[in-house]
Amino acid sequence: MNDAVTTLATKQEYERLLKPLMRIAFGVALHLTRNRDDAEDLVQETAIQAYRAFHTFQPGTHFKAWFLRILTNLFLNKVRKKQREPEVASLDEAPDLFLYTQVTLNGWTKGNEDPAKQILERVGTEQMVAAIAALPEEFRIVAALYFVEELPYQEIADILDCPLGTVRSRLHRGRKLLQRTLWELVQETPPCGTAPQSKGGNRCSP
Amino acid sequence: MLPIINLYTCKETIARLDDYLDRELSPEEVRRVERHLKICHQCTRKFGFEKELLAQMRERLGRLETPPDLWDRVTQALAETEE
Repeated sequence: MNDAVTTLATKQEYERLLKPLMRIAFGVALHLTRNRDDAEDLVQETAIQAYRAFHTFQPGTHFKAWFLRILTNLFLNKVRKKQREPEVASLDEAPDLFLYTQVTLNGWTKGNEDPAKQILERVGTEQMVAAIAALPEEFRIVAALYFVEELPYQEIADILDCPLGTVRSRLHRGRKLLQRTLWELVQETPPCGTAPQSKGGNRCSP
Repeated sequence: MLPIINLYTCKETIARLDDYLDRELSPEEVRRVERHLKICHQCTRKFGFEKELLAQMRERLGRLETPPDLWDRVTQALAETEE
């Protein structure tokens, strides 16, 4: 009887901590798995695995980081089972401030309109998700934690169990790769009102 | 004696752009970056552009739609593990 009461209390406590994390967990899982069904499955599997390990969680410590660590490890284990060779990042990176340089060269900074806004008016959220999905795995994982939840570098390092400097450099390179992809998307998409809506194209509304 | 103010160059400032936007610089580095931005219009524009881009990306990516039944599926899966 006492065991049953303890189990129920543990489960209630676990669910209380877990419920507010659904948006974050799904957002990160979506960027990692690159599709909604796999993301849902990953969140579910993580919830089960984390519950089984809940006795190892130290109350008062960071539940979100603990849960996301399990989620990313579960993902990486699945990926490693599928592929023997890890993805290798393209060395063909964009230079620093790639987008700013492009908009300047193309005269976008001369008007009153905010050039960053002009770029994002041409890129839909789905395309943005696809741009992150196109990142090599090591950058994608860091970018997922960074963009979905604005986690500080140290927290990302704790989740991934890697040095802070690794997070910093992966994020820096990941941003540059993202900027290059965003610019490619912008070039494929005409400005609002200049062409009929095309497939994946003119995204005047986010 | 007045403290010596070491100004960053444009190159040194831009090298700290990401860390500045992510609030990962030391207070001293922040002061030096901001001192540079006060006098450098070019770098201010670059920082403004990157800041706006980052804010808008996070805003959009932060509100990705979560499946409405996800929590139900999770609790169901948890219940089944106990059976």
